[in-house]
Amino acid sequence: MLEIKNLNKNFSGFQAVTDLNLKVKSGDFFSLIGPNGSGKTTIIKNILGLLRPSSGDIFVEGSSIKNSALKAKRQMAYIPDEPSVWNHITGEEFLYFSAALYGMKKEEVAKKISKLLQYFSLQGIEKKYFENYSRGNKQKFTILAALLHDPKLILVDEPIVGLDPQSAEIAMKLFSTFVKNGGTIFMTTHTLEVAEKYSSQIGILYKGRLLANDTLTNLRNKIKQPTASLSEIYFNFTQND
Amino acid sequence: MINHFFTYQRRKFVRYFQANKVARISVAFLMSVILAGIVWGVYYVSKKGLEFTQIETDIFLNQVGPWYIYEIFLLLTGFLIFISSTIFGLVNFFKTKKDNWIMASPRYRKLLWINSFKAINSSAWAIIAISLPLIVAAGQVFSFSILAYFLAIIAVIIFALICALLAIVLIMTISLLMGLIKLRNIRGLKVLVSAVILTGAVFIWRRLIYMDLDQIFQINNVSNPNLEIFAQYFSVFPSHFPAMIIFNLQTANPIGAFKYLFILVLALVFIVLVYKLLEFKFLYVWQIFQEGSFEAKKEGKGRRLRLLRNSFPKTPEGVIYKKEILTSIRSAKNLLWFSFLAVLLFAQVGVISLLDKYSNIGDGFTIGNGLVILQLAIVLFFITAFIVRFVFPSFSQESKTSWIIGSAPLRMSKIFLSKYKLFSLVLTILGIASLFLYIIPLELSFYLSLILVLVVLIAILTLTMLGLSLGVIYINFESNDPNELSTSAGGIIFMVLALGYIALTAYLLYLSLINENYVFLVFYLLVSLSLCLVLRKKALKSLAEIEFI
Repeated sequence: MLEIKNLNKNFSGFQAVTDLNLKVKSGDFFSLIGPNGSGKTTIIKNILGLLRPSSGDIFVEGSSIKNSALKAKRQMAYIPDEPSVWNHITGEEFLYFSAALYGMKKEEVAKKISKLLQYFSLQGIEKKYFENYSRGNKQKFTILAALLHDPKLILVDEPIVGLDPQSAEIAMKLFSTFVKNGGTIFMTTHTLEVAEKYSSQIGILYKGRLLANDTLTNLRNKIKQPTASLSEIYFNFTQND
Repeated sequence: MINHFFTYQRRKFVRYFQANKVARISVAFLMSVILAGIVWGVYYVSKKGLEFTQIETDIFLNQVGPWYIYEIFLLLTGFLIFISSTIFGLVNFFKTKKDNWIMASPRYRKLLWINSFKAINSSAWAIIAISLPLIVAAGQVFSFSILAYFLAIIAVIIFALICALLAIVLIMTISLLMGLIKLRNIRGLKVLVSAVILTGAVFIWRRLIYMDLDQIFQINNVSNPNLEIFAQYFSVFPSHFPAMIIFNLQTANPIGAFKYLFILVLALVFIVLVYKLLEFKFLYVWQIFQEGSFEAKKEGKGRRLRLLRNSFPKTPEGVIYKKEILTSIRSAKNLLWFSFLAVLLFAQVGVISLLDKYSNIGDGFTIGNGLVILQLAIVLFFITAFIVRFVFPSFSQESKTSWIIGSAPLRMSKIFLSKYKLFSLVLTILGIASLFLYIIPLELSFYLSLILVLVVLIAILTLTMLGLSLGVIYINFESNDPNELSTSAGGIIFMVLALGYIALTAYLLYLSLINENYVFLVFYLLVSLSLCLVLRKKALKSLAEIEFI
């Protein structure tokens, strides 16, 4: 589904990502963990084509983000860490716009939106302007917008920041269901308990380098602590580097 | 706290020049050159106008001629300061989340002071660009003493403070009244304040347009003219007081000047007292407007959604059209600026009607090609003002929301062209409408009207391409504020190039009309087309390289 080959990203002399090689298969729930400034968001933005790789390439379902960007982007959806949307449109309009950006048909959109709104019980506030939503509600609308056009890969940057515990649980269950139905999740997070609970594959990023990438069991085996929590694994890798 | 505010402002200014030093110093230099050009232009026009009134040996005209100029220039200054402060106040006083921390502190009242200071500061350009050059011109023509200069400048500064404070008091008073009648909606506040201002603007406009110049200049009573008749026409405007001060200084009547200065100071003291009283209620009105709903009215919901569904964008480009329209028409700040510029654009049509009415005054003054070309340049100048405010910042303003279209399967070239088509359409409608508003009263021939329409059309399409392209080439994700973006390097370059292009348009039209040779217009078309193609190519290349950090 997703293949990152020798990705390097440099910002005016600052090396944000170094020689990243990574494969995520269809149906995988991949979590990328790492401290602030380790390059997680930069990697996601490179995959989406919001940033241009300094070198290397990224393939989504075989389509290069460099050479076949539109084809690659059609397969993906993005949930940003900062749910900024145009202030003067409503949540419902945002969903309609998102659908139209991916070429969805008018008839299927209305039905789908009314179904999606129910997930987070957003009925009744969908006609309010985006600027009046709490951060959590903004986040919920961006999650729904990502699910709208049936993508194959969803890139999630810090999914549950600002969400109440109940909504966070709903969001994670939605992602799990999406994966069970054959979709792929690429998630970055600081909430290690969430990564531990839902991920089928975990990557540990530190200073732009991927220190480890494996299943939780194999990561435990690597540090020779079969009962270690993800938190312990994370500190083991990052403190030894 | 006030000390901290000024320290912050000083540090902000210093920090601005720390990064990209050369580029920012160049921008500041270019801005200073443009401002100096405007100041010099106003000074030159004022001085020539004042000197012109002194050519005749008619003592009455020698006096009322300059007086008329003072009244008009100061009225314009006051109007611009008032409108500028009102827009600033409406946008910033109650709906700025970043100010929550100040409002949560015991020094919350200072926020009104800080915002008032910013409002006054944001409108101070009108004094520098209009009033000060007028005073210097008057001082030169009528040999003002240092004291006269000092008094005139003090008068204008007090007048500017009164205008800015009037705007703030108006906003606060209407807010308070709305709070009392439980009409707690910030959009309602914007509508009410705009309605009050519009009523005032219509009053001023009508009074100026229907002013009988024969009567106020007492053409039929030259032997025994009465200054009181002249004064009566302007006494309803607040600008009358500073105008009277300068007039009294001109006629070497310091007692008269001090008398009007005293009245002006009293007016300032009164308005400050009202302001201080309203300051006590600032927390109350601030709180109630935090509750205000930005939701569309209940009765509008169904209709709005049906409209949206009926016109569901069929293509991704359709989303761009729809998004631009909705975000523009729902932004009170955008609408206020758009209305302000539109009012200024259409108000000059009144000036034309006036010139047309008095076209037979003097030694054969006729409305000829010169006036037509001047009007065309004015229309294009206003279109440029619209472009610099709305079109140029369009891409930079997408910074935080760029992930939406940036991650969608949509070519950047299509987004660029969608924005171009939409802005061109709106500006063409505006430009052609204002063109017709002066073609009709001037009773221009069909042939000349057609040429003007074509020239305006070409110019608008080219200026829009220039603004949008430079907005992409000099994209700036550091700010969301269109005013800040417009005064960045790209904005300055746009203004310089746009003014050059307008001058070229006027010159080629002039050559074409004088020589009755339309090869100049063909040349103009080719230049415009080439410019558009080059700009489009450069912009698309820049767009392909943009990174949405």
